[in-house]
Amino acid sequence: MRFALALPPFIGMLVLIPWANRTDPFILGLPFLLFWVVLWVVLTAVCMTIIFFLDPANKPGAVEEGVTP
Amino acid sequence: MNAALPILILFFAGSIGLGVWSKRGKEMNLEQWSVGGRGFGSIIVFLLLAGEIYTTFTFLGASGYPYSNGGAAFYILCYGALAYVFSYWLAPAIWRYGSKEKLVSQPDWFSRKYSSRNLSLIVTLIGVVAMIPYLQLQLTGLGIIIEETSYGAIPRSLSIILGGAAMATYVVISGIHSAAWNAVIKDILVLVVVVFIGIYLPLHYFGGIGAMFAEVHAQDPTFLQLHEPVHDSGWFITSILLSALGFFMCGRTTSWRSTRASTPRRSGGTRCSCRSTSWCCCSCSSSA
Repeated sequence: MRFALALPPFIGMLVLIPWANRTDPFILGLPFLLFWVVLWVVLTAVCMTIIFFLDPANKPGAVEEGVTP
Repeated sequence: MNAALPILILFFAGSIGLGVWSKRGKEMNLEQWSVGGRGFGSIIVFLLLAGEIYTTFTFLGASGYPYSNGGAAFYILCYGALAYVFSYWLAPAIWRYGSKEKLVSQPDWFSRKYSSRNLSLIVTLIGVVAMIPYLQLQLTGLGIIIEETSYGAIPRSLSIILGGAAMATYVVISGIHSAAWNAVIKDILVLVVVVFIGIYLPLHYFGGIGAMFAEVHAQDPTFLQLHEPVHDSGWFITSILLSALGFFMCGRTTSWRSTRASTPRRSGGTRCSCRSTSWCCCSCSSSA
């Protein structure tokens, strides 16, 4: 599940680039390709935030193995 | 003599002073020098990393590239984001082992983890080879910036020698602490300049960012997207992939992970987890 959430950024910024490679339409004043890329940088942060909260390693009180405090 | 010279000299002396000052009150040993005694907090680590990523490339490469190649330059936005997706799983594991075994460098890490001196040697060699073009880029950038800002009063080669000497001085004395503190100053300056120029220039010349893109589009309809012959989609995709993987290449970004300090959890939460640093190559980037 967590690994699956790491996939969308790669799909957005690599696989879909041939499709996103266009100037029109302009969105928020940005040419479409730039808008697309910026959108995916933001969405990558969103994906990683969700992963972070789903990750049992980040639950309060979780103890990671092998570390001396 | 012009007005830029005193400012340049001030910053030159300031960076050495700050670098030397950052050592204050610390008993220097290899662990303190290379990984800050594993005791850096998350904010300083954040700044160190930002210092490694935002360098003279931000000013020269990342502005010159879109000027000559248009839309192809958007790849710069992508590879960092993707590299950090890898980091999320890779970094804590590297840090955990590095912290447990008290390792201070990337070759150190490989030699311990895989019990192989040869592997560690290969890693070192690759790291050094990967660092040379990187250093050359930084120092050339430094030279161009100093030459331009001093109105030609300080020639390029002299500024590279002086910059390199200043950096070597404070890194030898204070190690990673000097790199971290200089990164703080540099990051603030870079951010202020980039945000100012990025907002002011389009407003001043075109009346807005959207208007600027519209004007460029009117002049050359394909300029703002990937275009033949060199910069097609395949070039874009492979460049991003290569840069994202290369992110871990020369130890400058990998090293910090092996060296984070005490707190085990990956998270923020109430305790900050991210303790780290990197080696002197990172200090190059933060000073250049």
